[in-house]
Amino acid sequence: MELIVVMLLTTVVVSLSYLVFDVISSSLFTFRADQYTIQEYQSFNSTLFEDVNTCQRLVSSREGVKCEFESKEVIYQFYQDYVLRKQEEWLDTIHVSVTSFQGSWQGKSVTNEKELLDELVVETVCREEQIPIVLLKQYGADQLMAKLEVDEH
Amino acid sequence: MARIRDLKIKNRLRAASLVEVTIAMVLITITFTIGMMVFVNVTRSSYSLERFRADVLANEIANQTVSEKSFFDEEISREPFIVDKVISQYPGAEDVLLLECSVRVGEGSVLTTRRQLVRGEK
Repeated sequence: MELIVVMLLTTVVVSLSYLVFDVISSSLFTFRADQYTIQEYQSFNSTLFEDVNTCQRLVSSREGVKCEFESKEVIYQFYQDYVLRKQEEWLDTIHVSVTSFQGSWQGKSVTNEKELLDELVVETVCREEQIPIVLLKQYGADQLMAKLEVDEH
Repeated sequence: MARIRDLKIKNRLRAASLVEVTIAMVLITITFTIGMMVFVNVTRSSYSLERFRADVLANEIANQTVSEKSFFDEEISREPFIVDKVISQYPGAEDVLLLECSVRVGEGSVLTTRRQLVRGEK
């Protein structure tokens, strides 16, 4: 009798262990997938923020924006399912969903290529949630004077 | 009779008793509970989408403050977040300010805080 009770209890314990293992492994899988997605958005945000803030000029380009540095250029191209970041011979693919992007200068939308931008709004979507990334760029007097000269001509 | 008793004793199996199995069950349950608590805490304290949104908002408010030179304390509401912007004098430098943007949801705990040194006067 005692042996039967022990066997029954052991069955319960082993079943419980497998059940807990199954629950933990499935939630761990979901957790890893979620973390990967969030990490992609985070790396996109931090890379774009760094590039926009450290570049000399932020200009509009076809399908994206271009960050011009003293010795290099970084081009961002925005697509619905991914973003391409081109820097010299390197090409990075960042898996973020971009629904639209808008560059502007002093509050006015810029549609032409190679125009200077002081604000960039990138509308991203993550798990059906709209997350607008707003970046502002401040320029030195030399860049502003150069733009003034270009506008006058 | 004595021989039969000796035989019974010799054939007795060594097995776990009910008490031992119950103790093992209790120990396994405690271990699982602790494990689940650790797991839930780890998943809850990890970098979430909400925290990412809070980071993006804090960056935006900090950039806006520097761009508009709006160096004063204020509470900005952006559904579902509330941003507490605090400007304080940075010790040891007269024209340097410490800009702090803390993002929270309602009266809840702070999700993220962005600190930045800016040149300007309060």
